[in-house]
Amino acid sequence: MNPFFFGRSERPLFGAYSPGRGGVEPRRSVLLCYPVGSEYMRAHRAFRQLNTLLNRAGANVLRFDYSCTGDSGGAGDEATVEEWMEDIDWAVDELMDNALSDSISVLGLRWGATLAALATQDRDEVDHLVLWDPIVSGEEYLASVLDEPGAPGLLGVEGFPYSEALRDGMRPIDLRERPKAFEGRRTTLLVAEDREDYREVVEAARRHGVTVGHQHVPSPADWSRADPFGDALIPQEIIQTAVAILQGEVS
Amino acid sequence: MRERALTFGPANLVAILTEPDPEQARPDAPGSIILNSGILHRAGASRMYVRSARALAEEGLTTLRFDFSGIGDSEVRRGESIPIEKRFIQETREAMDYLQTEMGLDRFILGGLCSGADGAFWTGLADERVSGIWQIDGFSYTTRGYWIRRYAPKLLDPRAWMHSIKVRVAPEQAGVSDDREEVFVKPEYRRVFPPREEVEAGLRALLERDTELFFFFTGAQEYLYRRQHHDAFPGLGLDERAKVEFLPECTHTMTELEHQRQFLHHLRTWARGIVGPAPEVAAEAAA
Repeated sequence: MNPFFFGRSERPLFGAYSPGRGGVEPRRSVLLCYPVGSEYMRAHRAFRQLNTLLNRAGANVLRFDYSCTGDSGGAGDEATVEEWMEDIDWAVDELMDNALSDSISVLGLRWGATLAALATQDRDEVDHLVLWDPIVSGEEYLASVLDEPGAPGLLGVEGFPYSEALRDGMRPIDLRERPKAFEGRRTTLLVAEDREDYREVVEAARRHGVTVGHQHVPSPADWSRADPFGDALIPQEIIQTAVAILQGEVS
Repeated sequence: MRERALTFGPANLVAILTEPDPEQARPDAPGSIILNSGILHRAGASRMYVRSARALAEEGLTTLRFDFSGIGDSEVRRGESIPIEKRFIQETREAMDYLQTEMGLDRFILGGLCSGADGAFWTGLADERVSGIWQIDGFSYTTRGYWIRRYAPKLLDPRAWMHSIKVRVAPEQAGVSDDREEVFVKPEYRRVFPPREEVEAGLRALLERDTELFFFFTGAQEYLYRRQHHDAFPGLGLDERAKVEFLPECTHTMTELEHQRQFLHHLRTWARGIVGPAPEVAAEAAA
């Protein structure tokens, strides 16, 4: 694995690139988009393991931290949705440069899924999108993690700052209203729970004339649960399904 | 403040080096290393390792955050069967070796939360290059004052007699483990506090070497008042020789922004006491 910084010099992004192993050709290249806040910490080990399995299956992988998160530049209270989407754009370019690849797959978890769908909707190079337990509605998400989501000023969610600007960026996002994000590429919703809002995303896409796959793999999905010792969540079944989807073995 | 990603040592451990800006650099300052807590990667619980490294760099300390083998982005160390505690020490020493070779640093401050605090303590005993240690929820021991504070209010409250007393066992949590290869194996580390006498002997040895010590306790352990650490080791004079802070409302992983701010303030104050004020502050004071 090659750890490095890339992107803007004033707020560099931390990336970890690892090439695929074995003689598999042509190699797929996969960009992994983390969730945010405490969910990022809870998912880090699962992402590393997904990364390992993808490498073993022959895929090149780039993981990276959005600005103001993880090892990337910036303070947490400076984070914005707009900048996170620009970060994904940077990461798409970075992966294609590293992997010498003309097309890539993107897998995101929770906010990583939602932001990846929106950030790459005009990137023709992204021909495959896997949305793992996506945040469907920003407003519903904020209501689930904050006691008073409309309160002014800087708020904390399990130790991570959510500024007004960040919340204002999250609030209006609703995947059911953005079916255009799924045009022109294969898209799969990979979900641990069979929920109405996930089915509504698929239905909204269908009405828009776009087919979105829906894979339900019952498995733990309590990403936002606060663990007093910062324990990790590693849902094996859904990780293995993600690898199979990205390898084209499952639609 | 500048940051760069790197790997070091025979196991290619993954790290982020945070260096002071040239105007903040202190040629005489020790290096600084932050150790993983449990299975959390080098960003630390609530991203506090990132913020701590940046705060220390602003005080002039070049700071390395790294992942032990098998944690975060560092690969499992293959072909070597080393007990966890020894691996903490070995890999932290490899980090010191790296900073000594590449940066010319020969004294180090080690710090961390929970198992990272334990690793700092054990490495400090094993390597005389360690000149300072900070710990969040390091080893702590109950005292007479602890038991009085814990049970005196209940003795006076008849409702308390209606409830059984919960006995807390030694804390345990996920942490660093052995060399298993399975992709999905989550490392496990049972944290057991050593006998008080062992820790007391260790602290005495560190103090005899003039090691700077900062202990920060949250409300997550059997710790109930600020001077408890002093009272647990009455012969060491920690009152005079160490900084001890206690924030009872604070959770183990520092999930409140205000508690994070308070911890960082204490860390910076302690670090400044070691290296002196930043050059521009010193210049202002002289003027």
